[in-house]
Amino acid sequence: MINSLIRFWWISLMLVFSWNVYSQGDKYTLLTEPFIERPVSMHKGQLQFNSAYQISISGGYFEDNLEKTNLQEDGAAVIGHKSFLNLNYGLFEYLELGAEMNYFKQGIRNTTLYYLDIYETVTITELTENKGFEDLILSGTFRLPNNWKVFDMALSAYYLLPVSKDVPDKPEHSIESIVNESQYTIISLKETIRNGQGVPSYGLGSEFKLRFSNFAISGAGSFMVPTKEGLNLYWDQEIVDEEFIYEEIEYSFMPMSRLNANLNIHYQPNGWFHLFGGLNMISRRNGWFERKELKYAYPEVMFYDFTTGFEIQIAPRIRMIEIMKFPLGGQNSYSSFSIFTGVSFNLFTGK
Amino acid sequence: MTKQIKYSFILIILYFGLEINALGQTESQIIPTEKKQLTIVTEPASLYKGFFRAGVIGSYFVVDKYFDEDGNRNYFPESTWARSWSMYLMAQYGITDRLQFDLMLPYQNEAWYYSQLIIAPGLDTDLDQSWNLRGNGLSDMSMYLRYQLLQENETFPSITGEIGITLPTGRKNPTDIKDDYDYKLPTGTGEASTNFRLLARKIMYPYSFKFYVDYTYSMGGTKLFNSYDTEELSFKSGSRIDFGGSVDILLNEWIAFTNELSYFSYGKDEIDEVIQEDITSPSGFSYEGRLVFQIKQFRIGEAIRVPLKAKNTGADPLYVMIIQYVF
Repeated sequence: MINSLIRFWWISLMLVFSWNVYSQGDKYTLLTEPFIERPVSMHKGQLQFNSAYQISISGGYFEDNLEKTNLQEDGAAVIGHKSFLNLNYGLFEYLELGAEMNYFKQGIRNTTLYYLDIYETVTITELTENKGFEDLILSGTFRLPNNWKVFDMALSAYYLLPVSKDVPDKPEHSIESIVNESQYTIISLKETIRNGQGVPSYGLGSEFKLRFSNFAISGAGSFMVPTKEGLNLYWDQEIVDEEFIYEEIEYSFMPMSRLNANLNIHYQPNGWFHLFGGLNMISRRNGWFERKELKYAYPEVMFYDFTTGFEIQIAPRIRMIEIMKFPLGGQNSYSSFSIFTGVSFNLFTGK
Repeated sequence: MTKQIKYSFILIILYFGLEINALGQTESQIIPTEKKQLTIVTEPASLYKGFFRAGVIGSYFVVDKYFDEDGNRNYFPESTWARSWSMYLMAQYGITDRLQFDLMLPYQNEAWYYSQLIIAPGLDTDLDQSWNLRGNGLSDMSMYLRYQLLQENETFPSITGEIGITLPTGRKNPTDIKDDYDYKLPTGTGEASTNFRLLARKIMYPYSFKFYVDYTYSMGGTKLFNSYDTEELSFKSGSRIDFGGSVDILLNEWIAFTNELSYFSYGKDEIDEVIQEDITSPSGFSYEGRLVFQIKQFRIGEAIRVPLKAKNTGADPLYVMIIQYVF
């Protein structure tokens, strides 16, 4: 009887042990899955935290007529800093939930103006700062349960929650007068615009992956449209006795619809490293704003760039992504060269 | 039975003894190729005797924001910006297992952009002006001697002393001066300097920890401070002190992630024998994160240095790329 119990205990222990070994090995295999073999959405129970930083150097601006103005030469190049935070979870093998919220900051300078006359020199500098969190985007992704080795596809739905600040800060303009032999006046204009949209948006998207041995082609496209008109404030301003006086004025607006698309070619020489390159497109259109009972259309925005980068599996749970983006063309947008450095942390919840 | 137990006990002791010896022998028998492939976390504080490491270090930054004298981070308000990239050719040689010689040969490329629009209604004149000042060429080269005063053992960290000298081999003055706003930027500081560093380092696999203190003494020189100056002025930069520490971790056998927190502070500059008391000397804290890949004898690294809090200095991140090979 005792021997039977001991035998039963040993068999149970071995089974539990082999189950643990199996599940650990299985998780390890899934965590270290090469990009080409990876499905386009999370596995069941997979929790992924992505964090990244991107610096953008905009040395030019694509005008409405598609021509590029050189901002470097004007001393007005724009340096943008963006931090990405993204969380994904595989609720089921074919259903993923996600949330994304990014922080963006850049300063835009205009050419310094000097007004000269016999009695006075007036210098005017102008700086517009974009600062703050962008809105929270929630997503649900449904992967087609086809399990084909060659082709994988997913459909996504998005909802933008306007949780971030959207009202611009009160301007911090200043006037400084210096009087000696002549009179010098320095007027510094500084405005701070927030990155919140103020209005919910919803959208749909899809992505696919086509696999050929060590190569793959991936693509994604998404659009988001606002649910309704919004209300925001702008600051009307005038100078009284050498001081700026501001007045808050409410206006209605319709945020622009967003369309993003990309197409990439991937090469996976081994299990832990993959290279990719492709094209990326961003489009914004159909928005308007109202000023003094007149509606004005926001100018349509378009931007194309070439992206190239690599991903390295640096530990079973950690991947590093490095991307460089080179501007190709656009309309009413900055011509930005960007360096993106990201880390992806993955784990499996539960047993 | 008792004899058998004693015999078994002796055999076990002998077995473990032999195994420990075998392990010890294995540790001391690292072949030279393996020594050349040690990672930034596991390598000793100086190169092994006869090893030669050569490489290139590239850095890039833009000038967009600055820390003012009160430590506030601001954008430059006027329409100006600058960018700079440098390329260092570096060579290191292990004279002995404890003594190392370093040589750094930098090439610098800078560009500074400024524009302004002048409107003079009385003269019925508008003048749109922009300047693009550039400077490229050899910058100031440096040499260092590093000696392991104490080699690391199981208990204590290694302590390394370093002495370095920077020679003013870069162009110290603006050249090709056509007018006040059209000239070539200098690529050197115009003065020699020497620096002393003390570094403590402890490896606790897969981690290593570093603490250092560094002092730089500038010897002074003469140079043109502005393109419109007619004669060179004597000057002497304030001494600089740096200290910091880093926690380095091996993410796997060939990738290291290092995190360094550092502080620097300059003393007062001296121009034309007058100490610049009214100007707040630059100082500040910064963080530098690095990913370093050790692929056989190649070392490829990428780093970002981010100023955290500072006074009277730039506030933009610095990107660094490193490629090295040990021969």
